Amino acid sequence: MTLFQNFLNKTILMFIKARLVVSTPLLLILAGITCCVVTGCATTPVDALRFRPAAPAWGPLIAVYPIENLSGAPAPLKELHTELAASLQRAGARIVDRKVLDQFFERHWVRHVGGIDEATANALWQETGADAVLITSLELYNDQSPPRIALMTRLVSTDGTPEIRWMDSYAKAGEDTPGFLGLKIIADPVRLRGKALEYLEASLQNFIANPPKFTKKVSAREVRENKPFTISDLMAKMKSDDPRRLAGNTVNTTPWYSPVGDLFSSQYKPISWFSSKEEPDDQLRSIAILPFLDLSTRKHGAEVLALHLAKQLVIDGRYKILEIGVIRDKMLNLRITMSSGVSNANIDAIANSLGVELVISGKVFDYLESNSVGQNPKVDFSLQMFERDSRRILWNSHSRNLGTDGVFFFDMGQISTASALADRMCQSLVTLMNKNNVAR
Amino acid sequence: MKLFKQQQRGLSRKLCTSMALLLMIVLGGCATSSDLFRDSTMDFGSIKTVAVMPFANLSRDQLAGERVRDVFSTALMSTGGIYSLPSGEVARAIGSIGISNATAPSVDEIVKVSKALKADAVITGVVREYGDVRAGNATADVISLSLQLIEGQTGRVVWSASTSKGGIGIMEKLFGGGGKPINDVTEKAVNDLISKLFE
Repeated sequence: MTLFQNFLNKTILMFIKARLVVSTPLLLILAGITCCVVTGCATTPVDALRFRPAAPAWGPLIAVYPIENLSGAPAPLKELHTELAASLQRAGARIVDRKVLDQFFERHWVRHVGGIDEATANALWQETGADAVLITSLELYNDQSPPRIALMTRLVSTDGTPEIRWMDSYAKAGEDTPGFLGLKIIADPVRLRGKALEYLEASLQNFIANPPKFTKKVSAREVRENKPFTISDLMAKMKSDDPRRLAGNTVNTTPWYSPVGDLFSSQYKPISWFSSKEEPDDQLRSIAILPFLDLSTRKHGAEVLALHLAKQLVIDGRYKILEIGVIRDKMLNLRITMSSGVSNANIDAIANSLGVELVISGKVFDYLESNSVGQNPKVDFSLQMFERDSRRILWNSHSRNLGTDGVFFFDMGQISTASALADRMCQSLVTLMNKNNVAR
Repeated sequence: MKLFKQQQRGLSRKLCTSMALLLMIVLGGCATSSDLFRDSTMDFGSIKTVAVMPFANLSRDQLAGERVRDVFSTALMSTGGIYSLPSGEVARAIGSIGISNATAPSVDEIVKVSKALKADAVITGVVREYGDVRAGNATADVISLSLQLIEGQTGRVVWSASTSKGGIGIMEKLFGGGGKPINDVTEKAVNDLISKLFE
């Protein structure tokens, strides 16, 4: 008898002995517990949340624009666009036919796909019946291992002045969540791409199925247009130029702790900020986000950052966010160039032509992606928010963070893409603006 | 006995003299050269709006002036005491007046700028050093910055201060390491200057 056969015989004998010792009811109880645990791990099928492909007769008719490349590197844009459209169609969304959209592009000479202006949006609505446009920007694409992707999508209304109704982004590196023994590392760029599209599709679907409910406010534009114009009102607004003095003239910088509320303050808050605390919260105001001044070495860094800010403001829901393409078009028409920031004349021109109450402008100093050498993502920008009538700064802040700023223990909390970092910074910024900008 | 007493007195005198000399040397080492000028006749409380002009950049980093100016402008506003005019509006005024060198404007130009912008004062600055310095194996970031506050109506300098932060200290020399990042150093320098302005 070989050594292996001997071992096998002994094992069988041991099993029979154990079977005799352990009673049958105990085995049954164990089996029951295992069944319960396994059932608890089961998740609801994703399909339950989706559009119903059988009846795609509801929801807005969406025109899926070709993807704009802001990554500064070559990327498979056509494949991404096809996959995005297919993903939405599979989920049951109503989509404008690709050929119809191409014909529309040819007819109207549409070349800029990173935004939509008012005239094009209205023409699209009239000619194709599209209720909304889905504009997607590719922020980062790297198909070499570990793959990385960052996509940003927004849904823009075509009726009247285009506004951003929904916006979301997805940024991930293949090695973000390595899991146990690196089993969860994604090495296939196509798989990562699929995950990104799946996430964005689910988010859009959730928005359409369950639109967020915000408190209804009176439109500031309506109030302004219905109010009779008097010179004395205008003069009173422009005269109130005394800045508020804060107690002790202390510089507003981020403390290591949060004075109220959450125990630890956000690591991604601006390093210093100014708030006039004069913005009334009783009316629904619209914002125009002007193109940021780009002083970074990253191609399209300013455009990407403006999109991240727009996303957080859309999610916040306190303001109406004007479509970025509309602002771009208006600035081109008015021949506005801003070599070193926005001037009062620019604010007047933009606010009057677009009918917005607030104007946001900014400067991007750094927008660095992580690389294989161990460089951490780094984002550095400043932002100013102006009020239309007084043309004064309501909010001014400077934000700067590294991808490692959130690390508390080993590499936990590290952010691997500049997109995710910018997103967190903008989120903290908008939260801080809300806390500080409400009239008291 | 008398001789012993005389010797003792002489010794104590010498000890006192040497102690006094030592104290002078030690205290002399602690002395710092003042890097702050403040016009005692100026009412700083009357300054509410300032125009921060582009900073002159003497460092290797081409964007150092713009970076430091932005950090300073935001920090100054965040004190809540002074309103800093938007940089775009300042640029427009510079362009319309036709100032050839905005980093070092003349008295006339300053008066014109402050009148055009309705600013109480104008701030000019020089970034003397910005970036990393090396000493042996040690490397650290350093910033050296000086600012001037010029009254808008008269064009005279009413406040001037300078600061240097970062660089290679004893810890960096002994243990190596890169010191604090340039942005942290910048923030420190700017806060130092602002505290000098408000003190």
